[in-house]
Amino acid sequence: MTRSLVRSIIGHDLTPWHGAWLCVLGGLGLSLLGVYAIDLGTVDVTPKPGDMVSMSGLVLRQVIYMLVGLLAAGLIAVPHVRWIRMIAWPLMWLLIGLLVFLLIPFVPVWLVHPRNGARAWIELGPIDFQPGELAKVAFVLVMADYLRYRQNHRTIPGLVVPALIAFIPAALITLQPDLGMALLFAPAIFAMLLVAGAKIKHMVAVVVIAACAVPASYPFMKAHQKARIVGLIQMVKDPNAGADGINFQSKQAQMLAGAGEWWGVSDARTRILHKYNELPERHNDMILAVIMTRFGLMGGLAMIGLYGVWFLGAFITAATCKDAFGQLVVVGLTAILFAQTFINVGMVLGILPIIGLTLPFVSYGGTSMVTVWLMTGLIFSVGMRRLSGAYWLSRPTFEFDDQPKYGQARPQPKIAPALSRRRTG
Amino acid sequence: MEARRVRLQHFIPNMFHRRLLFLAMAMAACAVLPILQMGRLTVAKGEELRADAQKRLVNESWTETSRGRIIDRKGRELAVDRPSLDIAVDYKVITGRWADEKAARVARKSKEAAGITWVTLSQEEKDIALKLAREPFAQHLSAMWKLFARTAGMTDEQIEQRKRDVIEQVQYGNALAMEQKRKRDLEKWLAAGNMGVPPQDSTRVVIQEERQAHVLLRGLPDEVGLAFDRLKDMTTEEDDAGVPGGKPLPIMPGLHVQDSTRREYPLDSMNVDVDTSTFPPPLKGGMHAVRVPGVAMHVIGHLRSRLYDTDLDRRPRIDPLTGKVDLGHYRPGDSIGQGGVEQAKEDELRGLRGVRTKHLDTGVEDLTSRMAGRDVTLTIDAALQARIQALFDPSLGLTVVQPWHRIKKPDDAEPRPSAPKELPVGTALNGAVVVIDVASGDILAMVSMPSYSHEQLEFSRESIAADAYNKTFLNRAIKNLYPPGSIVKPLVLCEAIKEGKYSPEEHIECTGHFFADKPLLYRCWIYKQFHTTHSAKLGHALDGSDAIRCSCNIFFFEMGKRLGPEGIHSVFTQYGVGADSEPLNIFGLPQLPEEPKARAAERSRRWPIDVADGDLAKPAKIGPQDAILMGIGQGPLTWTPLHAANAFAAIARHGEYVTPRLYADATQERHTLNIPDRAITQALKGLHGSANEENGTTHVIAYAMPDGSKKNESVFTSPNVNIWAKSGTADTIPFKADFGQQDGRDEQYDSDHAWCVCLAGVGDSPKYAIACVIDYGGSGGRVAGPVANQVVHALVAEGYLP
Repeated sequence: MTRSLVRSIIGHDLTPWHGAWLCVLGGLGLSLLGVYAIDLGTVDVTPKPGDMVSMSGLVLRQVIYMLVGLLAAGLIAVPHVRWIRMIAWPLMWLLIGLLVFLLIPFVPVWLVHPRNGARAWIELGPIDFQPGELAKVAFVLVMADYLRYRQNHRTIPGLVVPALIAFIPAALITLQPDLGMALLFAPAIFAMLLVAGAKIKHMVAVVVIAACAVPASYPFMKAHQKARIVGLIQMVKDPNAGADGINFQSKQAQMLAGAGEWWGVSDARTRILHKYNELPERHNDMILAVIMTRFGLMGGLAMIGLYGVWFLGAFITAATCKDAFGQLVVVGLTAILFAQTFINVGMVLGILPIIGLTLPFVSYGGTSMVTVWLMTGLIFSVGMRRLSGAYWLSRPTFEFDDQPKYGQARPQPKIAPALSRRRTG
Repeated sequence: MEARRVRLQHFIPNMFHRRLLFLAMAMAACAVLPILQMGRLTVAKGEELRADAQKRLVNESWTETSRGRIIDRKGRELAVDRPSLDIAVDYKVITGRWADEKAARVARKSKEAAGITWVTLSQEEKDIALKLAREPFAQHLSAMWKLFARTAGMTDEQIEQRKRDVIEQVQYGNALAMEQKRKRDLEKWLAAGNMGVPPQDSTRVVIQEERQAHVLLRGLPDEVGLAFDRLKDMTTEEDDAGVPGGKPLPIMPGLHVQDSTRREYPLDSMNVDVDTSTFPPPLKGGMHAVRVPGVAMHVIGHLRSRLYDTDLDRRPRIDPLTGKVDLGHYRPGDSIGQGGVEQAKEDELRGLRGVRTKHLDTGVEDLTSRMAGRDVTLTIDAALQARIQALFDPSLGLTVVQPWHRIKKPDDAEPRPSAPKELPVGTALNGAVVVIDVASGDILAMVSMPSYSHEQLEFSRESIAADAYNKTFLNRAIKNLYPPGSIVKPLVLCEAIKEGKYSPEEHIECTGHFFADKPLLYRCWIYKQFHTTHSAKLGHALDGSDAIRCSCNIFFFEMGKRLGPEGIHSVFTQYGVGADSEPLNIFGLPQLPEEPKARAAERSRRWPIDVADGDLAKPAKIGPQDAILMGIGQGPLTWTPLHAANAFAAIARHGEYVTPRLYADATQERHTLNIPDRAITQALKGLHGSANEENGTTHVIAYAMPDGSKKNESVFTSPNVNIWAKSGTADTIPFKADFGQQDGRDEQYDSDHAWCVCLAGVGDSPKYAIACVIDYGGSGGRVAGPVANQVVHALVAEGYLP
């Protein structure tokens, strides 16, 4: 009975070797790189030989966060993804509740203390919890559950419900305000709809509309958000504009990143350079600048390579998975992680405005670290169960009647093209 | 398209897989941009960015140097640095930015304590919060500056002015840095092959001076410095502006008390005992104690604490030639020489700062030791200088308009009411005296009166500068151009003999007026005053020595005529007069730059210490009538007392020209003027006769005594000193002045400049050349002669003559 229950929870026919191991490998490499970079950015000097290993409190905490993240990844990978799917919606509602709670004005400051102006954290004694981070994951689970066997997202009206599912948490996070986090919902929904079979022309239209809507949203932005966008535009026109003001952080980050040149500088010199060149959030959002100071262009490329390993693992997992839910979860999480990485790297290197987004696995932060490991755990879970026997005989995922059948060329229309267009539109 | 799609479906039959591949490719494409930017920052700009980052790893601190001494020929210290204390204040406190920074912190904290997030506030709300938070800090600064002024013993306005000076200098330094950056960017832009108008870079460059403290009070006495030292560590009792957990504020934020030096002028004012028993009979008395302010002030100069743009341009922080930091560059709060040797020898006196460069990355400290400024030894004798300056003290009466100065001329008619007036009796006269050692060319004294002390300069600068009549800042000895008048006659005689235009045996008749048909023009002074001629008075025609002794104009009109424009021109060019000759550069100034703008700027900068050049028309511009007139030192010709003393020194050396020197170590040019000995002999004979023989124009003066009687007395009264002298009364244009007798309106006055140049020595050997000019004094013999006599007495008193 117990064995049956366990098999029911865990599933059977688990695959020991699969692509998600690459995610674990990439994630571990990035996490360790992050721990070292945080140490570089927070401890002034290298300990002398024979000294006790000197680590700042932040480094120790980050190591703990990493271990907790690994544990969380392990735990989330144990139950079968169908159980995960079952708790997706309740989890989403719970997190939406927490996001609403964060915005309530009279919540005491000791419980919700604004950081850098954002009401994004709930203070739980020694642990700070950021519901927005988990909401991204929950959103992917909910969206995957919604899209897995539907066809209506291949029509314009059918896109409304997914958009609404994304809008609610994204809007709540925007109000915190944490625009960076909110922006991550867009690539996730886009990628999931794309692979779920949404029509390309619809997606293009949505992108065009969104692109047009971005300038329209400018008047509704907060003053500091506007200032950052204006600062970036000024910096494009004049590389040194606002170096003492709105672009100070970006200029400092670029200077320190560039200072690494090809191969970087020594450990001690990196610490010294960062000690005397003030770079706000160097252990957090700006951690890439520390890595590039230390390891130069090669270090930056190596880090991107580690992300590449993670993405490769995720894509292999998605490609080999036979379950629509699993496939969509992996794609959604990958899109979020990619977007977050791209935005962070872009803002450190001065090609995107600074919007306060951490570098996954690398930046300091408990919730961030645990969340990316949870994401890795979920992908690992999908990867482990890619050949689940129940699905062997099932129809391949995302095959639609108006598409060529699996392994076949698209049949030539035998009716008039106009009618054909109407039928397939 | 359809065919391709079919082929893709063939290889990747599942739509999910195809779109997954598309997604992966899109992501890979997105990664290209950050990778390219990484390459740009690290490879293309890496070197520059690393250099920028490493700038902060070097911490430089300066050690002040001490300025070299100025000492006189006898080793007396005329200017010296003494240890003292400077008070410096952080630039952000001087500008008030300190209050802004404090206010920003407090405003943010206050809002966050109230649960309001700062970044969510609108700009207006932020401005209001900042304004409210700034108020107490602004008040704190205001109280600080009042206390600062009170402690320094200065007015609030003086302190404000010093703050403004520092801010202006730092802003100018910033503008220079911006300009340098703009040029660098432009060079890079052009080097990149771009054309057209380069993009404007509006980035503000932050220079080190904006992060440093600047000296507001320099060279403070110990008691004031220590008072600031006590205030430095005092803090308010309350926290800063009522912020919870705020720290008490320092009473004087950003205050630094620094060891430094103070420039002192030990002989700035001297007491001189003047023996008036050798004065003209109406002024005779006993010993008079005279306080002489500003001894050799025009020679020594002073320091000014305000730096101008030209100063910063002249010696910028980075030497444009070497690209290295010039340790002698000017920093806000520095002093700079103004006038005299302090200005002329600024670069030598100034010295070089020391710099301690700490490399924060390695902990290594580089120390460049400071280099004290070099001492400058002058040829001036401060005691002699003080004695001569004392002669100009109005209380002695020697240089004030006296009744015996005037000569009643037989043809004087009652002046017209509109005619220029004579200077009122009792008016203090200005002038200049130069004493040169004949053998060495050393300038023993160079007096320009009125002078001014450092104390007067500090408290009455504006009123001194505004005094257009006295022109106190003007160094008359080298900068005021006077027509020479009759004192040039020995030089003209020498040139005429040298050029073969006159033979020493030749005698020339004094006819009273040079042109037979023009009795009112080109007259001899004796004809003009007494309607007679020198020939009639002497009973014979005049040779060269007679003409010098009697100062016969007709003889020298003839010499001017014979020499012609070229010859008369060369008389003066060989003594450094006019643009065609080498000017007398006693301050050792460098050549003026060629570029017109820089030339004008440099001329303006060196105004108080310029070379002595004089004005002399080019030969082509000198007509025959001018040449005749120039024979008696009138016409298109001016020079300075330094020229006069130096020319007479050359005669005393028997025609050897030596450039006069003010610095003991100055290199001199010596060359012969090829004047025949017989010319020198006749000239010296005439000069000796002028001072010692009957009919000599500087022999005897008839004084009007207070009791109405008249008393004749020799001009030169030193019993053991032999004198060769020539007086001159140089006609000049009327001038306007207000001597207080009118209703505040300037009146027009007319008088001549009084010259007396003499050689003083023992036996047949002249040892010292003395040039004395009294501005608008009138008769050279009557006014300047007694002054020259007292200069000889001063030389005796100082042991130069027996």
